[in-house]
Amino acid sequence: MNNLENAIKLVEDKISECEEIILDLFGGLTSQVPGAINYDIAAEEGIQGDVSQLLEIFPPNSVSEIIASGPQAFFLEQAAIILKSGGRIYINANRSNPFARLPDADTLNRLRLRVIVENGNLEPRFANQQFFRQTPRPDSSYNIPLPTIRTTILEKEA
Amino acid sequence: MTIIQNNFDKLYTIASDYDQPIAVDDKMVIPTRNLGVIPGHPLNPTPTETIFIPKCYLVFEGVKTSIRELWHYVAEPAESGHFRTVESSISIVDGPFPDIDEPVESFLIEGVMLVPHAWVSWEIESVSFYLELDSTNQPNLIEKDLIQVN
Repeated sequence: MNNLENAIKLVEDKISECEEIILDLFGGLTSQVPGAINYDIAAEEGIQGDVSQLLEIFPPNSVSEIIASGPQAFFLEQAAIILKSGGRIYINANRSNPFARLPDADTLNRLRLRVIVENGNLEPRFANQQFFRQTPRPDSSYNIPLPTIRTTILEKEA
Repeated sequence: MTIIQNNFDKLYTIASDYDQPIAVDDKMVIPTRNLGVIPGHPLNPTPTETIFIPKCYLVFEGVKTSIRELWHYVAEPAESGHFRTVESSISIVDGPFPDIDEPVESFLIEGVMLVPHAWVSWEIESVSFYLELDSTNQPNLIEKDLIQVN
C-alpha cells in the first residue's frame, strides 16, 4: 500500500470496526507477525512509509502493540504517541543496534514509557521469525543468528 | 586522511563487512566496508538518514581484549547468494595484547566477517577508538552513496 490516503483509510476502518491494531514496524517486505500491519519503507504488503509519517497515518492512542524488529531509525517518540495506554512496544534487535538503545530516564518518563525488560533473551513468541541484516547494497542476503537478538519491552503508562 | 575520534555510539555496524583485523602491539585495525553512520555523527549532516561509508578502518588503541563470537555461514541453497548461519558458534580470542594500566571502554561491533565467512559479535576493550576513512572515499563519493533507510 503506497498511497498515504489508502493507509489512513485502512487504519480508520480498523478503528471504526474496533479491531485491535498491532503494528510491525520495520517489518520488511512482508510481516512475520500474524495479524499485524506491516510498516516499512520497503513494504510490499501493508503500509510503505517511514517513521516520520507514522503520526499522519495512526491517530494518538490507537495502536495496541508495536513490534520493532531490527529498527533502522529512531522511532520511540512517534511510537509512544500512537500507542494506547497499557500497550507494549517490543524491540527485537542486536545489542549493537543504535536505534534500539533506550533513551535516558527523563525521556522515557516524558514518553510515559516504563521498561519491563531491557535486552532480555529473544521473546519466545518471536523465536520462529527470521532476522536478516538490512543493507541497501544489492548483495547477498544474510540471516542474523537468533542468539544475538535481544528483546526490550516497554509499556505505556495510563 | 580523515579521522573521527570517538562517536562510536553513532555507528551502525550490522550492515558492515569486516576483513581480518591487523594488530600491532596494543593497536588493532579492522578494515571495514559499508559502515553506517547515523544522524549526530560528524560525518552525517542529515537529520534522519543513515549514511553508509564504502571503505574505512575501525582503529582501537590500548587494546586489552578482543573476543569474536562467530556463526559460520553456509550458502542455502548452494550458490544462491543466500546465507544461513550454522546453529553453534565458536569464539576467537585475539591477542595476547600488552598489559594496559589505563581505564578501558567496551565496544561491540556486529556484522559479517569475510574470512572466515561468518556472522560476528565482536567485543573489544580498549583505551580509545577512532574511525579512519579510506583515502578512496572522497566526500562527494560518500554523498553519492547516501542512502535513506528509515
